[in-house]
Order: sequence, then structure tokens, then C-alpha cells
Amino acid sequence: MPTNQLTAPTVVMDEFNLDGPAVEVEHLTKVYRTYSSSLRRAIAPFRKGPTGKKFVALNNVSATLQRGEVLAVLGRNGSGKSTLSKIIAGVTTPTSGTLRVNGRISAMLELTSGFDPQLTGVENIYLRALAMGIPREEAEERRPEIIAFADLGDHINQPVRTYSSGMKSRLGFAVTTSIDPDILIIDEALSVGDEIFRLKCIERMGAIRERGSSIVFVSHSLGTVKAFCTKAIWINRGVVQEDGDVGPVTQAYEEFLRKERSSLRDELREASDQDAVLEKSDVVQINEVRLTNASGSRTTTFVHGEDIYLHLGYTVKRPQAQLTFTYTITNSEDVEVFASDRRSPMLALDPSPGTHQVRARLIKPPLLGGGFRLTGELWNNASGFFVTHSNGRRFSIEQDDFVGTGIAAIECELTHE
Amino acid sequence: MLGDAIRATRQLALINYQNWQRTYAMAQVALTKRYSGSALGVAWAVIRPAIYIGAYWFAVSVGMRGGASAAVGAPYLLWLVPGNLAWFFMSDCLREAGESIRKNSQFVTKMTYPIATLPVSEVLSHFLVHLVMMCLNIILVLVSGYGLTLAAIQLPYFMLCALVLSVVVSTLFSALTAISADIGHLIKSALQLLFWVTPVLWTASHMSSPFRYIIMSNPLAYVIQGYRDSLVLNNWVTSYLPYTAYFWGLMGLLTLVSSLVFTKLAPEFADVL
Repeated sequence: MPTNQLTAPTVVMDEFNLDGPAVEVEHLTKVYRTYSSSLRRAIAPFRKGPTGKKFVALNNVSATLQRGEVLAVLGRNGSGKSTLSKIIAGVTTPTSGTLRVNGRISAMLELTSGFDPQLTGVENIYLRALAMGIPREEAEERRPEIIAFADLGDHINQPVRTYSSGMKSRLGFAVTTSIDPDILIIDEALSVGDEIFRLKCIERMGAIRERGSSIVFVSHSLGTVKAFCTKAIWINRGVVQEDGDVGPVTQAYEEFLRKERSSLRDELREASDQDAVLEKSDVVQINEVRLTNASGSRTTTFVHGEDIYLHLGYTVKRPQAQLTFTYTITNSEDVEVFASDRRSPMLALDPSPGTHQVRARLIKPPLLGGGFRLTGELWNNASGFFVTHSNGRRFSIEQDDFVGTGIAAIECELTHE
Repeated sequence: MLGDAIRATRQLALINYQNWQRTYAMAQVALTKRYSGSALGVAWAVIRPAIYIGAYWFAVSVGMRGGASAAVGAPYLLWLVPGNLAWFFMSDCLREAGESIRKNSQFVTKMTYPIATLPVSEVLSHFLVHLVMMCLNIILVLVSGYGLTLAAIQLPYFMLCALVLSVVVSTLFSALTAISADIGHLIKSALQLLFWVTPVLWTASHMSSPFRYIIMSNPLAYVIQGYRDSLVLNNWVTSYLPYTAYFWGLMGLLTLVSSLVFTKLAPEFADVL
């Protein structure tokens, strides 16, 4: 057993043993202790029995990761996911329980991946290789591939402190995944970075998986998890809620999230907090949208050239600086026939709190026979807030005499010169 | 407790032994980092002590109006140099290697690195510079016409003493500083005070006991005295064997304490940094 780390005797990290499961975690518990001052913390290990305030990050967690599997670790912030990945990576020691790791680990526990800001990108590659115990020749061999993946151009020769966070994570990922690890741990390292970077990372992680290595993937991005991972484990407040195949576990987790979100919303509505997240209907609500003809009867069929009346009922719940009525007419193929000017002063509405009713008269629309859709929207141009009424109202135009084809009729007067 | 301490010492020694190549490579990295940023680069390793020694010599020599050389038994400037170089080496180690774990926290929190080798790398990087400085010191003694005596062969021994002292105490300090930044600041302030209490600029030989014993009980005083005896005062270590026994006894005790503290605090590093 390598004695590199002053670890607990219950942690066994064997780089060269590739038999058996890649990672085995049994009854793992991690308790963090907080002390009122750093002095007390320094003295604590020398006193009999534990002291300080207890925070249980992981409670009796057990899991197994076989070779070639990709394990997703799901959970809300503060659930203990990162603690688990840190323990597996060997960075922190468990309070109790056993951990067995077979194979070489490479971990990306944070974006910046422990680069020295004063050194250049290339120097940091060598430093990382040195820190991981990789011989210089091997580092030289892999250097071009790392530089190519990181795609930093000339910046690779500049000190890392000049890099943007995206650049740092690209380099970090390139270095972490270049050493052909048997077990790769990625802890939310893909959250910063554009689409292309994320694609490259997933591709590379896929290649690593093809080679037979195992991956521990801690992420909030359920889409990626569902597509890429084979197994999942869901931890909440340090306790395992579900584990097994990725499908059922992510389903359970998503259900949990949905419940949390709706209960949170209810709580906020009750608390009536100014800064809380609101639904649009909490600000302005459209109560009804009704199409009528000139005599006031509700209809959705109109004759070509007939005025169309739109009745709009709305309630203003939070005071708005201003409100404008806008409308859009699209035909049956969703081609936009007309969308009104959002800033038109003629379409200004009463923005005062309370319920209002307006009637919009579309003046002799020259629409030809066919199906159309009318969507009404209320816009606050000062704040950019807008509320739409569902998918709009369908109506149709009937035409008895043929005047032409198309969407709208344009009349023509012919004069002989 | 003693059993734990011995086990801890063995563990640390093993880790350092197994990883010595990496430790040496890291020492070189530390050197490049320290000097590559500035324009004068490595020259600072010589300029800095030169400035300090020059200042001390001027202040004390002029202040004492020539009495200094008589008090120490050799030309004052020549007498100052080896003692100061020894002090610079050891105090730099204690100060910087004492912070080595806190400064290099990424090795603790982001990867599995043998942290027990971090203070050793730092000490080693200072030692490499110190070696060069001592060579320059020897050249200085020869060039000044004062001449080297046979006692100079003791120098490697005293350099070894300095190295052991630095490694052992830095390991202790680095563990304490990593856990508690307050202790780190305390250590820094104590080192400042230590300069005046250690006979770097002055000699304790004229002091009466018990003051003399108290001052010389400081292990740094032993090392500094040894450097001076080797290069300037032509004294042999055999003339103070009990003192030597005391030094090594103290080193043994410090090794046990340092290893025990380090191994007990090490599991907490990742959680604190």
C-alpha cells in the first residue's frame, strides 16, 4: 500500500490493482467540525475525544463503481456530493467507514484545478505532471496533445493568472484527462464553459469510458447526466436516497426537485417578498380574451373585410409604469401577417392596479379566406415585462366572391392614360 | 504518546525517502518561482545578505568604534558573515517553509500529493542557495588574507546541523500554520524577536551564567557558533562535546514532537485550507 498520504487505515488506494471494482465505498461517514477559533482547531487533535460543533456531511454512504461505468452523483447544493468526490479522490479523509480504490485516479475538483498563477500554462502542465508523479518524459510526450485540446493558442506561454475562467478550465480539463486515468472524477467542472467546450469534454470523457476506465460525474446538468451516465446515486443531506441505474434515479431526483420548487414557490407567495421569484400572473393577469363581431356576439368566423373585435379583460396586481396592448396575426402556416408596434401610443392601456376591460377593433382587415390566429399581449416597455394570453385565438375568414389568392387583399384601381 | 511519536517519525521519514526525487524537483520549481519573477533574479540571493551584513557591520562597528573586533576575537566583518549566512538560511526556512503548506494549498485540496515532502522541498530550495553562499564565504575568507584553517572541515557538519534543524522545525511550523493562521502570525513575530535573542550580531562568550546558558540553549546559537568556529575562530567542536550532545538530544526531541504534531494534524489540512 503506498504511503504517500497520511491517511486513515481504512482507506486503501492501490494504483496498480486493476481487479475488482474501481471504487468501493462502505459505510462512509464524514463529519466536519467547526471551531470558534483556529487555535482551538490546532489543539483539538491532541485532546481526548472530539470537540467543536459537528456537521455531518456524509452519513453511512455505501456505493460501488465497477470498471467502465459512469456514476452520476446527484443532489442539491450542500448535499455532500463534493465531499464524496473529494474522499474518493483521496483529498480528504473519512471520519469512519472504508474506501477502496483500485487504479490511478485523476480528479478535477474545481475549475482552476490547482494551477500556480505565476507560472505559464506550459510550466503548469509540467508542474501538474510532477505533482502527480508522472516522469518528465511522459509529460513531454503528452504535452502537444494537452496543448491541442486546451486550444489556447499563444496564451499557453502566458502566466495562468492572465487566463479567463474558461481558459483555466480548458487547460485543467486537458491536463486532468490526459494522463489516461483508470478512474476519472469530474466535480461540476463543466458548468462554466461554452457549448463547444462542453462538447469536447463529453467527447473526451466518452473516449476514456471506451477505454474501460470509470468515471464519477458530479453535476447539476441532468440532461448530460441522463445521456452520458450509466449509474447514478442521489444524496440528500449526506444520506443516500436512491442509487442504481441512471434512469430511475434521475426520475426520482427530478420529482424531488419539482416538489421542492413548488413548495418553495408557495412559501414565497405567502411571505410576499418583494424580491422573490414571481409568476407572471402575479404581476398582470389576462382574465379573458374574446372575439366578437360588430353586433357583439361571440364568434370566430368573419366575412372578408368585416371588423373584428377583440375583448380583453386583465387585472393589474402590481403597479406598472405603463402598459401597451400589442397583437399579432399569423396565418394557418404560422406566417406572420402583422405584428403591431409595441410602442404605439394609440394602444396604451390603463396600467393602474385593478381589473380593466378593453375592446380592440381591428379595422376592416383585408385578410382573404382561410384560418388565422390572433395573439394578444400586454407589454410594459419601461421594464420589458410582457404577458401573453396562451396561444391566441383562432378565427377564420370567409369569402364568398373570389378576389384573388394569398393572405391579404390589396385593391387596385386601373386608369387609362 | 512516545510510541505514537516514534511511529509518526518513521512514517514521515519513509514518505520523504520514497518521494525524494519529486521533492528535489519541487525544490527546483520553488527556486525558479522565487527568482524568475524579478529582473535581477538569482542575484538577489547574494545582494540581500550583502546589504544586511554591510548594514550590521557599519552600525555595530561604527557604534562600538573598533571595539567589536576585539570583543569577538576576529575582524568583525569577517566574523559577521558566516553567522549571518547561517541565520539567513535557518530563519528563511522557518519562515517560508513554515508557510509552505498554506501557500501550496492546491497540493492538499486538489490532488493527492505527499504533503509531508512540502516543507522539505522548501528547505531544500533554500539550502541549494545557501550552499552557493557558503562557497562565496570561503572565497571571501581566502581573498581577505585571513586564511582558512583546518577547522574549516567542520563546516559540512555544521551545515548538516542547520539542515536538520530547519527540516524538523519547519515541518512542525508548517503543520501548525496550515491549521491555524493565527499560529502562523505568532511564529513570524517570534522569529523577529528571535533574531535579537540569538547571538547573530554579538557574542555570548562574555556573558555571565545563567544568561549565557539561556542564550546558548537556543539550538540556532549552536549552529551559528559552529559556522563561526569553522571559518573564522579556529575552534574545534571537540572542545564542547556536552553542548553538542545537548544539541542532538534537542533535535531528537524536536523530531519526535514535530512528527507527532504533523501526523495528527495532517488529516485536517484538506478540510481547513
